[in-house]
Amino acid sequence: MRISDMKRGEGGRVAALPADAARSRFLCSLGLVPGTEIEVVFRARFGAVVRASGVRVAMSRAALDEVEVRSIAKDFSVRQSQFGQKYAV
Amino acid sequence: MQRIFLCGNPNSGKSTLFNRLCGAHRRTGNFAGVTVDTGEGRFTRGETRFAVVDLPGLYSLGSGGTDERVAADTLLQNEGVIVNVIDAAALERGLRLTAELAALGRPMVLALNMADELEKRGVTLDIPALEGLTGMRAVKLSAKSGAGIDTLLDAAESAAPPRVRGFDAAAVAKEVVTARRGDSLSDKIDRVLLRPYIGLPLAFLLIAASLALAFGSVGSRLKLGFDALLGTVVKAPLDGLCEVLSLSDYLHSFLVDGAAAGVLGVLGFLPQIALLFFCLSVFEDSGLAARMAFLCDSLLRRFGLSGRAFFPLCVGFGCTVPAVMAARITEPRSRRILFFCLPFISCPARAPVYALLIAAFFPGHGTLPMLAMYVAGLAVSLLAAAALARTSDGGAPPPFVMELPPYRLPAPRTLFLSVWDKCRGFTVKAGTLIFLASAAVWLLQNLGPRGFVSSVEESFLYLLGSAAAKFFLPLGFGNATAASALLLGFFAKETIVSTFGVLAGGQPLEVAVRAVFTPQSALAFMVFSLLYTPCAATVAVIGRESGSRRTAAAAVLFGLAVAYAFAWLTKCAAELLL
Repeated sequence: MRISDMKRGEGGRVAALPADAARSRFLCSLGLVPGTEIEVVFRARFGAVVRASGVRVAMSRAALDEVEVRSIAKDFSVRQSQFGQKYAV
Repeated sequence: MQRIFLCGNPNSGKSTLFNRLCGAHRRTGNFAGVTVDTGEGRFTRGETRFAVVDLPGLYSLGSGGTDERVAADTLLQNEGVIVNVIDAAALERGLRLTAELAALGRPMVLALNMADELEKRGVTLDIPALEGLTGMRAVKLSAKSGAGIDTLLDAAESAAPPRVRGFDAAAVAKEVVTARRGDSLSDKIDRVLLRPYIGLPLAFLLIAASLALAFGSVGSRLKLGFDALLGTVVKAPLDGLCEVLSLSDYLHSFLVDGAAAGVLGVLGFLPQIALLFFCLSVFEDSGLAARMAFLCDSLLRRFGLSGRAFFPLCVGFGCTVPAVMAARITEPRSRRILFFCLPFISCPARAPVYALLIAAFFPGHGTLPMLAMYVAGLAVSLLAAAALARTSDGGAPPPFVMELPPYRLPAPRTLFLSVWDKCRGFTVKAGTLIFLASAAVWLLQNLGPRGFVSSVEESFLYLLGSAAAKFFLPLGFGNATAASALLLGFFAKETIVSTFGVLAGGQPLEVAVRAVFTPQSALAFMVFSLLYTPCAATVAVIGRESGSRRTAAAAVLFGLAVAYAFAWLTKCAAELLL
């Protein structure tokens, strides 16, 4: 699924970035690295704000469709402390 | 001598640290991508002299861009200690670069900047663990206040290559950071501000308030005061000096009425420009600008631009020269379009023209036409962008992705340096060109085919104006006065009004102007002067920023064509409605 399928408060793990090398390098540089956990902090029709690698990244609706993710869990903050190391890459 | 390389992500506070150490004035902006070049500086501490190299902000050495290659080459080819500046609030991302830098095997030290802000938010960092996992010294720092700099420099002097071969940024961050993952204050504010119905009106309100502050009563009063100051401090002494040196009347006039008057005329705008830059810097530093860009993205896409173009468009209301420079933060395609569109936005230099014509033809009803000019400038700019986007090749700008820095109260020192830097750029660039332009103007006004002239009608200026006047007949102002003013206006739009003054002889401006225009042609003239060619300083900057003189020339021609079309439409509409 994509980030565009996630709702506010949901957590996910980046699975794949767009094929274009320059684009995926740019997204990585901002913190959206495959394997990183992300959390949707704000969600609206025009886009979302995602926390990745400790950084807040604003993404337009089109950008949300670019990144593939795997879902982790709804209540992200609770799972984080319970399972910690188990989700290490 | 000890050499230090400052290396780190954009927005990590690296440049603030550089300023602190070397006292140099560098642009530090919260709008990621502002610092685009390398800087060098020196300072002495006790008995040691330090040389500091501020490398461009990077997220990773391997991204393949020019900045990254320059940085990697610099680090590999020179001796020195790497001071890796990390925003403590973005530790994991910063550590990715750290791991890559560590692989270079150079002596290295970690500087955890803004650690104090992090602690205020209840987040703690396990420094010993961080040092163990990365194999290098880590020092907490607040570049803004200066706390921790001494410790950092001590660590830099005794730095060694990292003791650990490589590490995973995510794993280390998880070990070191103890945080409650939940909503921070910035998230809470964003939840409100990022609603289009709240954020967009707020953004426009803030921009409008900035313009009102800079160009409304406060700004105008400052301008009057500054003009008077410049008169006493520069013009009068210069006048006196010419007398003392017994310079010929012509040389005296050339220096005082020509060159000096022209330059001081432009410099008079400095307080207002500074006020505008101050407001824009506040938005930039506080993090508001990034949110505004995000909100405006979908709107601007309809015109072929992206959210990043929001900032240059705003700066355009202050002066087109810094706006063209600010276009660096947009993508290449938007940037090219902006070179053509930004000059249409009304800058303070054009305001005196509207003010004069409105006072002469629509006294008492000034607000609407004034506002209309500013709105028209922006509207034409956006329409032109849309048209250019459609005709040029390549798809739309890539989808909008931008870091939102945490909201912070701008530090007065950073604000001051930022405004100072922008004003200095404006003054120097505009000043040198305006000086030359004023000299040229004076010559055109006072020289004619028969040498120095006594009446203005014999000057080259008037002759050129008469020749060009035919060009403007369809627009309703096909007379030498208007044409001459527009010709000189190419050098600096402020000279349009002063040319009217020269050509009016002793008459009051409003009277003189009513002799050459009708209400309809006055409106057409206002529209033409708003849109026609960028001023000479802007053309020079466009040429430099685009790296192509062809682009600059194209911008001039584009401006002329658009101006002619809209001025003609205005005249027709005015004849129908007035």
